[in-house]
Amino acid sequence: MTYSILNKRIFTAVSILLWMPVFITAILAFFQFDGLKPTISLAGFHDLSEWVRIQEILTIAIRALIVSIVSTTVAFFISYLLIRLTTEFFQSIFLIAITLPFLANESVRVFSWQYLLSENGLLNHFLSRITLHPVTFFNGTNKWNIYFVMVITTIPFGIFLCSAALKTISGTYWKVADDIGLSVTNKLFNIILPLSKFALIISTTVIFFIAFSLSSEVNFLGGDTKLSSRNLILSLLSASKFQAIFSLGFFIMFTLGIIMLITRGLRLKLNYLKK
Amino acid sequence: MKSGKAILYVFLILMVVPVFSIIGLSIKSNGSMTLGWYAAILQDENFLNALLLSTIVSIFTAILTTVISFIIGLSWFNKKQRLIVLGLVLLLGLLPPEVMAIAVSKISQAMGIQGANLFFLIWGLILYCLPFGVLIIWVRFFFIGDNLIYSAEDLGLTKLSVVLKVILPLSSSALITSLILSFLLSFNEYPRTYFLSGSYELVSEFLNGKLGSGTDNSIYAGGGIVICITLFFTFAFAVYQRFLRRGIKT
Repeated sequence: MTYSILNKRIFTAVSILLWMPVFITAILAFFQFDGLKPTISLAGFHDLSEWVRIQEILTIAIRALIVSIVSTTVAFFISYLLIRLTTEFFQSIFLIAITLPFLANESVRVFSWQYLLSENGLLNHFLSRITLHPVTFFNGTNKWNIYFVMVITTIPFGIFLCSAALKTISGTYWKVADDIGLSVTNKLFNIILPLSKFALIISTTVIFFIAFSLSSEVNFLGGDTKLSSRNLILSLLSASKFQAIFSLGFFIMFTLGIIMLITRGLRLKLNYLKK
Repeated sequence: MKSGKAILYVFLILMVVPVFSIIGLSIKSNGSMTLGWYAAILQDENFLNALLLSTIVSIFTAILTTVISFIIGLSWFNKKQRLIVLGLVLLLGLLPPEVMAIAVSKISQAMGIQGANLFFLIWGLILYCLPFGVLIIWVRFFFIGDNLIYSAEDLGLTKLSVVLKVILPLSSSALITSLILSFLLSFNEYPRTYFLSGSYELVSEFLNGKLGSGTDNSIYAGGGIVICITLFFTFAFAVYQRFLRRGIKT
C-alpha cells in the first residue's frame, strides 16, 4: 500500500506529542533553563568529558561492540541453518520460541541465568554429576557471564534480521550454486555473505545500541563489575547532573544518525556499482 | 544436514530452557517438591496489587500503541520520508531506556504534574513498544495492494469506510500481533517503570527488588507466574498464527 489515507497533519500532531521526549533530550543537552529563559550551556558534555566518565562509557561501548559482533556472527550462522535446512513451519515455531527470553521479565531472565551460572548453580551441579567430581567451572562473578548472557539476549534481533535477509535471496542463486557444485564454504563466502552485507551491518548496529543499554546483566552477574549504562545514569542522577544525562542521550542519537547516514551511503554506492 | 538440525535444536534449548529454571526453583523446598511457594505469593497482597496494576497498565499501553502504530501506518510516505520516520521510530527503541524515562519525567515536572504518574508511565511504555508496533503494521500494509483501495473508492466508499471495511480487516493479524507484543513488552519492562511509576509498584519492580535481595523462595514463584503469563500469550499467538495460516491456505 503506497496510498496515504490519513492527513499528514494528524500524523505530524501525533509525532510531535510522541517524540517530545526525544526533542527534550536534544534541547536539554545544549540549553539550561532559568524559568522559561534558555541559556546555551555545554556543561553536560563537559561533565561527560571527565576521564573517569570517558573510561566508563568506553568500557560499556567496547563491551557492546564485542557483544554485537559475536551476536551477529552466531545469529547469521543460525539463520543460515534455519533457512537452508528447515521447513516453513519449523522456522515460524523457532522464531516465536526464541523471542521468549526477550519477552520474559528482564529480572527473572537474568536471575535464571545467575542461578544456572553460579558456583553452586545447576550447570556445575550437572557437570559434577557427570564427572563424579566436584566441578566449579562456572562462577557467578565471572565477567564473561555478562558477555555470554548479553549475547543470548541480543541474538534474537540478529536472527530476525539475518533470516529475513536470507529469505529474500532468490532461489535461483541457491540452485545455480548447487548445480555448479559449490562447497558449503564457497556458497557462504561467495554468494550468501555479499548478498547479506546490508543485513549484517544493520544487525550489528541494532545489537550494539541494545547491548549498550542492557544493565540487569551487569547488576546480577557482574560481581564487582558494576559498569553499565543504568549505573552511569544513576550516578549522574545522584550528582544532579541532569544535563550530562541528556548530553549522553544526544551523543547516542548523533552516533546513530551518523551510522544510518553511512549505511545509506554504502547502500546507494552498492546500488550504483551494481548498475 | 543432521548435524545442522542438531545445532538448531541445541541452540533452541539454550535460548528457551534457562528462562524456566526459575520454575524449578519455585517448586523446590528442602529437597522435596511443593507448590507451597505459589500459595504463599498468591496471598501476598503487594504482589497481587502489583500484578493487577501491571496488567491494567499493559492493556492500556498495548491498545494505545496499536492505535498509534495504525495511525502512523495510514499516513503512508514516499521512500525518503519513510526512511526519516523509520529512523525516528528506531531511535525510540535504541536510546537507553533510562534517558527516555528521565526525559518523560522532566516533561511531567515541567507541566507541574506530580500525582498522575500512570499517564507518564504509559507514555514511556508506548515509546518503548512503538517501534515494534510500527514495523509490524508497516510490513502488513506493504502487502495490501493500491488497486484494492482505488477499487473501494471507485465503488463510492469514503476514506473512513476504506479504513474500516478494507484496511482494518486485512490488517487484523498485524494488529493482534502488535497488541500481544506490546502487552508482553510493557508487562515485563523494568527500567522505564523504575523511573516513571512514582509511588506505584509494578510487578517488574516488585520482582527486581525481591530477586536482587533474595528474601524467600516465594519470589521465585512470583517469577514463575510472570513467566507462565508470558508463555501463555506467546503460545496463544503461535496457535493463532498457525490457524491463520491454515485459514489462508484453505
